[in-house]
Amino acid sequence: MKVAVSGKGGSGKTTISGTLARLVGRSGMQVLAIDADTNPNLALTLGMGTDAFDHLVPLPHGLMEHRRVDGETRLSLSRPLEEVTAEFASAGPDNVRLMMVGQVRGAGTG
Amino acid sequence: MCSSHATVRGLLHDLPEDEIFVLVDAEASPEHLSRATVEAVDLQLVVAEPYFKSLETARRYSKLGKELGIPNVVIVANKVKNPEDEKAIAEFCETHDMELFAVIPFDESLAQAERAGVAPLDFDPDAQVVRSVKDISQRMKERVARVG
Repeated sequence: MKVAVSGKGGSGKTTISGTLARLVGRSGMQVLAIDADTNPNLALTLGMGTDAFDHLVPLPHGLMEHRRVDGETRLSLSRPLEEVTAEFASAGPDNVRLMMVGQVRGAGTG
Repeated sequence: MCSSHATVRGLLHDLPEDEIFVLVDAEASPEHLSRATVEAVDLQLVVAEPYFKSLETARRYSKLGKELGIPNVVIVANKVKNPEDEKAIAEFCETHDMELFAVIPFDESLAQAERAGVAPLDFDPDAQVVRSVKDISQRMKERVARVG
């Protein structure tokens, strides 16, 4: 199952996201949590600590290539998913792996 | 910015349906909907607080999610302090054809967890907010199986 949590800033979506991810993981399922917020705080809510947070690397756009899938052209991973998660997803508590996607790399980089 | 949304969108399409549970913490801006970033999800949880601007935002995000073709778009009321809050949210949802899926009470322990710099689940596994989210985790699979 794929779930998106959305809402106004400050509504508590990151708290709900992080807690939900861990509770599902605790029940035995493998969880991939994706922080797609340009101001990312999911790692801290997952309980990964500031040390882990400083070492998280956003998924590089260069890993995606344009492909024609199901009649539309969209970006798709250019390497196998397992390889990409092994390299870019960080292990957190309760079977949760966290991947940062869509963040900027630094001021003025786009 | 554009490539960020396209990257998340593509990745969500590429990820498998069943073997793993995928959770996306979207950004607060409506772009995750207007740019179709999260179109490949099965369920959109729209978090709303019991005041007008938050509910209005939830209404817009729900509408965009449905337009995007997300099969299940539901509201999660958060920081609900009293029965009046709950009633106001329930009435808003009913008026605007939004499904109120869960109500999470305001939980003072969150501020304490925040001050301590730990995850709410680690601070107090029995906290009200944790119990409410556990209820969501147990009901969402059934909700998605129902579709609509």
